[in-house]
Amino acid sequence: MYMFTKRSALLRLLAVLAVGAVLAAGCGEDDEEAAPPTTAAAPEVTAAPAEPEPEAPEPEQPAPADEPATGRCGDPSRLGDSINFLNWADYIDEAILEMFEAECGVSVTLDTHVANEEAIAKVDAGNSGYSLVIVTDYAIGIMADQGLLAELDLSEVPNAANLDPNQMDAYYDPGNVYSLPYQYSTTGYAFDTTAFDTPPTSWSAIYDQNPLCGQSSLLEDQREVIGSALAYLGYDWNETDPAAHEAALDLILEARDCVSGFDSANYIGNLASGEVLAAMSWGFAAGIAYLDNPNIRYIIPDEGGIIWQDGMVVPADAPDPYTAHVFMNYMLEPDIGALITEFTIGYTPNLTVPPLLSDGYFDVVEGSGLVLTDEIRERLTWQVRDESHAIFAETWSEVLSAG
Amino acid sequence: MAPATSAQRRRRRVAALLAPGTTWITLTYVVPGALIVVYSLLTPKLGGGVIWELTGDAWAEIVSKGRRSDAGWATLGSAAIRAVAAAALATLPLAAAARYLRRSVRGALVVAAAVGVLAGVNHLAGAYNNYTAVFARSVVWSVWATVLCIGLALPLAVFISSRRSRITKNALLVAVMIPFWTSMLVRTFAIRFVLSNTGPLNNAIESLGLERQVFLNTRFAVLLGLVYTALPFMVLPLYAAIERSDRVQMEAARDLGARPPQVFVDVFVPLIRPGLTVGSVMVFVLSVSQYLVPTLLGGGKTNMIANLLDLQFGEAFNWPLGAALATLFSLVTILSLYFVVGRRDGADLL
Repeated sequence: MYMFTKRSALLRLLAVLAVGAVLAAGCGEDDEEAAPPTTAAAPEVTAAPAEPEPEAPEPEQPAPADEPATGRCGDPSRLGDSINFLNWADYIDEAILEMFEAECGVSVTLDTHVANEEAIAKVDAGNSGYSLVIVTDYAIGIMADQGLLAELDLSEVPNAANLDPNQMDAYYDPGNVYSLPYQYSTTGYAFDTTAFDTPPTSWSAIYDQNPLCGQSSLLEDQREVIGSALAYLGYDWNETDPAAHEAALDLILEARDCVSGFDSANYIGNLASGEVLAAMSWGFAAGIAYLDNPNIRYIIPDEGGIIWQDGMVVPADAPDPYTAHVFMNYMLEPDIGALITEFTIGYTPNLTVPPLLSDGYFDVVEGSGLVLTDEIRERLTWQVRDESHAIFAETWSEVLSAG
Repeated sequence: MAPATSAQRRRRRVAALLAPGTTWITLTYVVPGALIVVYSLLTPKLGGGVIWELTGDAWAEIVSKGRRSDAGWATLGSAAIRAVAAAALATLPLAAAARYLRRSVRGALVVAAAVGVLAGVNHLAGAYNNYTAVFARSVVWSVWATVLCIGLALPLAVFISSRRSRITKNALLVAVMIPFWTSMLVRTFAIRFVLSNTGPLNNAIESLGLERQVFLNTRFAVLLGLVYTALPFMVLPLYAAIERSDRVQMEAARDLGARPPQVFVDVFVPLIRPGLTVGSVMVFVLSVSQYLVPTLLGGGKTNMIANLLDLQFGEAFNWPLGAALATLFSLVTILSLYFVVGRRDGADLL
C-alpha cells in the first residue's frame, strides 16, 4: 500500500507539472493578449480610414518644397534620431510616423495604451522612455499635479497658433502649461434608427422604459455611466453629493437589467452588426460604426453629455523633450492634422485642418449626427476629476458588485 | 577542521538544489505577496499607486461600507431560514442514499447540516456588503463549475480510459487538450460570438420558429465559460487516476454482491479520489480567479473577485483597497482549500 501511494504521488506530481505547464503557457498567452479585450474595436477602427489613405501623400509632397526643412523638422542639430511615443491604441494613422521619418529623419516608436490609468502608471513608474504621451483631459490634470509632466516650450511649437481658442486653456491645464490638444470628442447616445419609431432625445431611453431591453449597452466607465444617471436626475455630471449618488445608483441598478452589458471595447462592432441597437457611445466611435451601418445616429441627449479632449504631453523624465516638441509641432501641421482627424473621426482642435478634410469625413460626421453645433456645445460638460470624486469609484463598485 | 561528513555533504547538495527554486518562489510569490499586504495599509494616490502613510481605511471600507450594510436582524433571520431550508432539502436525498448504500444515516445528517450552514453563511455574505457579496458569488459559482466539471469529466474520463487501443486513448486525450493550443482569449471571443443576439445559436433558434433569447451577458453564459475553460483540468487528473485504479477491486466488489451504485461510491470513488481532489482544486482555483470570462461573457454585469480587483487597481485609483481585497481573497481561497481538502488530501496534491 505504501509503495502504491508513493508511486501514484510521483505520477500525480508529473501530471500536475504537465497540466501546470499548459496552464502557465495559457496564462502567458493571456497576459500578452490582455489588451485586446479592450481594444477589440481595433479592426473596425483600422478599417475606418480606408478612404483618406490614398490622399495621404498628396498634401505631403508639396510641403517640403514650399517650406524650408527646418519649418517642419525644427533645428536639425538638436533633433534626436528616435523617440518613443505613447498613444491610445488606434488613434493615429501610422503613415504619419513614416512620413515624419522620411521628412525629418526621426524614427518614432509607437507604443499604445488602452486606458489613461495604464498610461499614468507607465509614466509614474519612472524612466518609461517616452518623450511624448497622449492621454485624456483629467489624466493630464492628475499627471501635472503629481509632477509627472514637463512644462512645454511653446516657442518650439509655432503651430500651436493654429489651435482653436475654444479648446485651449481647459480646466485641466490652465494656460496650456503642460499640454496641447490632439483631438476631442463627446460622449452621448448612439442608436440604430430602424429600432425607433421616433428617434430618442433623452437618456430616458436608458433610464426610463428602455425600449430595447437586452439590446443596448452602456460604457464601462464609472464617470460616464454615473454621470449620465446624475444628469438624467437633474444633477451635474460631476456631482459628488452622497444623496445624489444614492439616487443615481438606484437608477442604474434598475436600468441594469435591460442593459446588455457595460462595454467600452466591443460596442462599435456590436452597433455596426446589429448585436446592440443602442449604446452609450463616444462620438468618434459612433462615426466608425456609421461607416459599416449607415442607420447609426448619434445624439447628445437633452440632459447633456460629456466633452472630452486628448492632449499631447511630455513626461518630466522624457529622454528627448526637444524632438518631442518638434513631433508635436509636426502633428499640428494642417496636412498631418487632417490625416489624424480622418483616421480618428474625432473633432480637430486645429483651425487649419477643416478645409483640408475630405468629403468622406464630412459625410460621416453629417450623416451620423456628429456635427457639433453651438446649441449642442451648451449641453456638454467637462469631466472633472480630483480627490473629491472618489465617490464615483465607490458608487461604481456597488454597480459592479450587484449580482 | 575534519572533512565534512557524508550527511553534511548531502545537506549541502540538497541546499544547492533547492536554492534556485526557493529564490524564484521568494521573488515571485513571497515578496509580492508581502507587498500586497503592506499596500493594503497605505493611503491611495490619485492616478494610481500609494502614498506611504499608514492607514486602515481600506480594511475599514471592506468591513463597514457597502450599500447593503443596512442588513440587520432581518438578514440574520432570513439567513437562518435559508440554512434550515437548505439542510432540510438536503437531508432527504442524502439520507435515502445513505440507506441505499447501507451507510450510517448520521453521516448524511452531518453533510446536510454542513450544506445548511454554508447556505446560511453564503446568504449572510451576500447580504452583508458588496465586497462580501462578490466573494460569496465567486466562491459559489466556482463550486458549481467544479461540480459540473466533475459531472461532465467523469464519464468522459471513464470512456477514454476504457478504450482498448493506446492510439485511440492518446487521440482522445489530445482532443481534450487541443483547445489549449489556442489562446483562451480567442476561445472566449468565439463563445461570445456563438451566444450573441445575432449569433449562430440564436439563428438556429429562430429557424426553428422560436423567439430569440438573450444568452450573452447572463449568469448562464458566465457559468458556461467557467466550465468550458476548466473542463480539461478535470478530465486529465481523473483520467490519470482511473488508469491507475485497480479494476480488480471493483470486480471483486460486484462478485461479493455490491450493487453498482455501491461499487461506484464505496470502491470506485475512493480509488480515484486523488484525481478528484487534484481536478477539483484546479478547477476551483482557476474559476474563482477568472477575469476574462465574467468580463467577456458576463458583459461586466456579473462580476467576480478579479473584476473588483481590476476596478480598484485601475479606474478607481484605490490600490490599497484592491490590495486589501486581494489579501482577503488569498486568505479565503487558502483557508477554504485547507478545510476542504488540505487536512485530509493535502498530500495528494504533491
